[in-house]
Amino acid sequence: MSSIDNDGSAAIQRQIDSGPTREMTVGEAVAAYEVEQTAAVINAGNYRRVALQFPDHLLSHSTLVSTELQGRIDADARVFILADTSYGSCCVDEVAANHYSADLIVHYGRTCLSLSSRIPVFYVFGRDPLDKDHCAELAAGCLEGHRLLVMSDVPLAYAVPEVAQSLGQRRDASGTLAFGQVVASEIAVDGRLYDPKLAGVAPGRSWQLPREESIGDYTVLYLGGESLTLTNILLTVRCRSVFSYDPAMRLLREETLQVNRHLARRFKMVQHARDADVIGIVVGTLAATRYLRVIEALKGMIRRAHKKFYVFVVGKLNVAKLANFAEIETYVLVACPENSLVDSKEFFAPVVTPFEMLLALSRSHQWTGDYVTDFHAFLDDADRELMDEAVDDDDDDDRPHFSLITGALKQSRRFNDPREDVDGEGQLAVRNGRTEIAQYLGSAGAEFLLTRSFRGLGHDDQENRSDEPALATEGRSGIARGYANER
Amino acid sequence: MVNFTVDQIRGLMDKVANIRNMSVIAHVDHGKSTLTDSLVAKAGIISSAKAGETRFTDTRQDEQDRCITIKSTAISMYFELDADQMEDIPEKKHGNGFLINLIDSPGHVDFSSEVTAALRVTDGALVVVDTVSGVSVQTETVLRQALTELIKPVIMINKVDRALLELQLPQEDLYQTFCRVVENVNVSIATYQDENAMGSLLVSPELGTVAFGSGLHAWGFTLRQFATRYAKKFGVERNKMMAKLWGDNFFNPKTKKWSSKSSDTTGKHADRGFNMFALDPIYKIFGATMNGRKEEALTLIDKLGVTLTSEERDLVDKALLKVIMRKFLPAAEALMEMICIHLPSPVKAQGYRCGGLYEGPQDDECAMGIRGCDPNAPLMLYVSKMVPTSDKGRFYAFGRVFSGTVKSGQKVRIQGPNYVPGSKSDLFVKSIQRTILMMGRYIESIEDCPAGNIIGLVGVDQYLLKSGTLTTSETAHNLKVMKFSVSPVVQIAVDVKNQQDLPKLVEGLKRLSKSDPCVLCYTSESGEHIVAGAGELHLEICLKDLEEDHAQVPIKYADPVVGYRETVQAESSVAALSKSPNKHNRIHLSAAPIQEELTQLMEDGKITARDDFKERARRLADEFGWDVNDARKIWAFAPEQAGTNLLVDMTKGVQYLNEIKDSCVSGLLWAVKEGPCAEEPMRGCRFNIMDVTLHADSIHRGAGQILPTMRRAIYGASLLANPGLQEPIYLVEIQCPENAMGGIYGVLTRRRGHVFEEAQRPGTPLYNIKAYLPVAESFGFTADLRSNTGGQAFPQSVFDHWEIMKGNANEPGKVMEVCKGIRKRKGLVEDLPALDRFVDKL
Repeated sequence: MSSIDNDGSAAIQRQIDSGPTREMTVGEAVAAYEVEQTAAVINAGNYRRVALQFPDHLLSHSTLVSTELQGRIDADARVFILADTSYGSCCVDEVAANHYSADLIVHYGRTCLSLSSRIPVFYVFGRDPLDKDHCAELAAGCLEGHRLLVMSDVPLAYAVPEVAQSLGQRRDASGTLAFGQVVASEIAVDGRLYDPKLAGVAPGRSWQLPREESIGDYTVLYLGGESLTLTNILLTVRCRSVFSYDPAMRLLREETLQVNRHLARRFKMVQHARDADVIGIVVGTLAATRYLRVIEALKGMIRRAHKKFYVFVVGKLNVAKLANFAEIETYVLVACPENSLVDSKEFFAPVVTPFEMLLALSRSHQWTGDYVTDFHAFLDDADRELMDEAVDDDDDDDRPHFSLITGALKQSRRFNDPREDVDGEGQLAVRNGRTEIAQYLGSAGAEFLLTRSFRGLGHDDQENRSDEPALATEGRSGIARGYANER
Repeated sequence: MVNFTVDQIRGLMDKVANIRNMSVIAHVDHGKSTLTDSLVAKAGIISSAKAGETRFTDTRQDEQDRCITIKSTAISMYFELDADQMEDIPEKKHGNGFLINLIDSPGHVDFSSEVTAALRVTDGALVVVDTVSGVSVQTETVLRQALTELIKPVIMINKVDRALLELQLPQEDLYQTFCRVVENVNVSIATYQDENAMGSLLVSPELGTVAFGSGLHAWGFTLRQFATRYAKKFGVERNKMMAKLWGDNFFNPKTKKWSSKSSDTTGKHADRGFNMFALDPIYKIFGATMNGRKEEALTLIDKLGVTLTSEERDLVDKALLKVIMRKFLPAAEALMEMICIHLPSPVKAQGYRCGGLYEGPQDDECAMGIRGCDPNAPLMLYVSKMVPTSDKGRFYAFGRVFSGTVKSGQKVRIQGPNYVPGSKSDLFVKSIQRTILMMGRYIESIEDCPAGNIIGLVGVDQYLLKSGTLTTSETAHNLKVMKFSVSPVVQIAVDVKNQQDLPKLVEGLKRLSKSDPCVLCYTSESGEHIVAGAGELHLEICLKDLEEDHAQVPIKYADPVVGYRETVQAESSVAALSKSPNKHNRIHLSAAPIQEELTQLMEDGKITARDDFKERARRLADEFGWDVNDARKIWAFAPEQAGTNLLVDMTKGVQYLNEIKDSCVSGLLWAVKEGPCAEEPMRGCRFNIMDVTLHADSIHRGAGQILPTMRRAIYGASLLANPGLQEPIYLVEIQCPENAMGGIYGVLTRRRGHVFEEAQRPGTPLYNIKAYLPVAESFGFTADLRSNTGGQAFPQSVFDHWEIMKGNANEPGKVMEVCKGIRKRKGLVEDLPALDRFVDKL
């Protein structure tokens, strides 16, 4: 999916990461998509306009599901399908749903379980098949004696308690319990209907460990194939080790080495972010609650570090979009936990998560290998940072830092620094032909423009600028693929 | 015990004419530190009995344990000269007290960046040469470095005791050995000296610029000393006598006449002046003491006017010999005399060094201040290295005041190596907390320090990584950045054993890169922490320091690896075509190799992006056969520093081309950082933009469309141009006896090395072998060589050049295997990317 081979055909031939779509009969679809339950929820809540949000690879089933659903609900209630989500399909697309004044969103398939802020959401996870016995067999084989925490991808969430129970009761040859302790994690969405207006349990994974035991003693058994969810768990849950059981491949394997690699790469990103003076905040979600607070927190942090930020809303990220802003040295992506980890190797500037940005800008926070993708945890950290900073007010903050990118000292450019703007004496301003004086005050964009060899037509200080008024001529018409005058 | 005080030294600092800043340089194991001891003892810092054993300037424990100098160490000493010695000093002088700032430097080639840093702050160099092994590769290297920095050399031929005791050389043979050393040194000097600036620097014993002696036994002499002794006896002028004591001057004791032939017309034998007057007494003392003829020895020394205490008279053999020789010909006397008379004072030296030191115009206030060594001019101070303090993580900035006076509490401009006059980049205005005098193991605070002196500073270490310029003038340019003769080509990835320790490792890496002039610490794209050094020994020392001093956490190491360069070996078979993401723009690009000579010129900064484009084009056309029109349209050099890859606009009449130039250049800079084959930096590639099709509407040809496309086109063009790898090659010099040669050849062949020069050292059974050895094969080379030659061969390896590896990276074979290995290490997909990822069809 990298840009480098973006010749267009890639987008068409792209394998979607959740596997091929199966043909389904009506009966199968009704069962798999939990049409009956959904209809019951709609009728009970008296919802009138219901948005059905499908991930890309399930869109082929969407008409079937919507027809069946429409037939089972009140006549004046309407369902409609939301395709082409603005960001990731794991996030509930509230904005798109709002365009159609939906009062309920039904979200199908994998989800990152981010909180929505306005519209109630009903999650349909679906149920992927799982051979519980096989899984337990393998787990017993190589995890004997471990304390286990069983987690899963959402479509397998239904199986977690059963698997945990069967593992917990398993005995080895000598008759003692095979596992020290088995804990099942829960995915709490409160009966799967989440209404932000009502107080209730927020969606998310949770688990209850016996007293005086820490997660560090546990081994996570993850049910499900390789996915962003797994990566996220690997990065954020500081457990002893993680094993994954892939039901499709029927394989159990340990997932550690890759984590260190991944963390090492993220560490490199933090170093890039440290060196950056101009930062782009990219809004990658409009659904996750508190994204606005996160953006505000980021702005505050960047401002206090005397760096410059610009906020971008570009929809789904791609290389070409972000490469349009060559003056941005690092982007920070505000998105749901699973989508914010972008492998930005192909991007012109690295894309980091808010937590990484915090690490990069903070003097008190240091990289320890603990990792946070959750907004909630990030905001706590950011608040703590603010407290720390208030206490430690070092006046010598223009000291250069040692950059691990170049192996040399890096001096920061300082933007919006009160000390520098005191007097404009001795500064040179450019006067153009019309005796206008333009002064650029701490504008990273303008500074960057001055370093370019081409600054656009008719820029104020361009030498061969002509002040002659030009006659208006008729422009082009048509579309970019080929304008009318090009045919 | 110390026979001078800080106040005395501070007083002398103002009398610049009486200061000598000098470094001691030589091949490894030729006895620099041991010799330095004699001077330190003379200055009263260590007892004279210990001289030759203490190695006072080897301050680190590992230096003492390994008997090798790793860091250069500075020491200030105060001496007083006799009246008759004063006469010979060609410059102005202020009384007979002299301040000598001496820097003892390491000899091992891996640490030669320390030598560079030492040379920068000194004006003279004492070059130490081993009588037995003669002028070695590192002797030549350090001489060359000294001469390019406009440092005046004097020579000390050391370890004469070995020639007498171990080799039992007859007098005439010893003389011939000396002659050869002087001759060899002069060959190097003649090649690299700048006669216009400094006059002839050739050394010669009859001028007094060559001394002979033994650092271990702490004795030494110059012909001047012997000449003084005999001048009185014969009643001739000293200078005339000196001339007679070297070269083909023979003395017939019967007729008491000098002649230029070893036998006169009557066939009577005459002795060479040097042998008869200088060597003979020494041989006699050696013969008498070592053969147990103690009485003879004692009468002899009475005649020579040497007095011994009664305890000393009880000594025998070597111990007695040492005492006698030390009293007869104290090494410190000879050295001190040579240093004070023949090495220049800062005033004299800065007069001719200014042009080579200062980057700005030679007539501004700073240049004038430097040339005049004026303590009242604006401050110009060069920090050449950082010295760790006892306070962890803090460093003394060690440097030389070239102009003005530096004071504690003074506010100065700290200009880093990338400072551009008039800009704010790499510039800090801060106060110096303290100025200190550095004396080997001790430091002393002083109030201020005028031009011409070497000084340590507290409080600027946080603004400079390794070196930089300090000034008080707002218009000052930088003092030239030092150029090292070694490059960090050997890398090792380090990681902490505990993830929690990572911040400490990062801090440790920062401290490590401060403390060593050459080491490079950075994080690779895949997130590994890399320490890069000049050679295996250098890395070993760096890693030890990192673990024990700088980071102080347990660290694990990967195997050492070398960095490669990606290049192309032919012109692209067809121009690569890449389309922009929106398909509306097309770039046709071809790649071609750049000649190695031209690449090296670009690497050395002789041809750069900053040159006048017309002159550069002319040069490329005349010397490298470029088309002048193409050469004028070089869009960019990449990477930005010392760029060796070029982007050339060869299009004709493309509309809007100027609009995308910036994006193309950014694309180039991005692409050459990581080549297509192994994601190693690219080197020596020329990319020609053959044609460009752009969308008529500017919004559709923005940076976002062009930048990634340019990168793809570069990768595509490279893959079409017979892509290859360049690997770093060491120049290895080995000195060994004949019977060890077989073993050396065996080891070299096993490691893909080849010998290109083999010569016997005249007058010795030793051979000099020069060979090229891939750096990748050099791990464990020293140990391997030792075990295969019974410890008789010791190599000196220094990075020499990049060499293309035979083969195409894109076809199965050795090169492809290397690429895959690198990709695997970096955690990439092992197979090389296919061409169609980068190239589109029309």
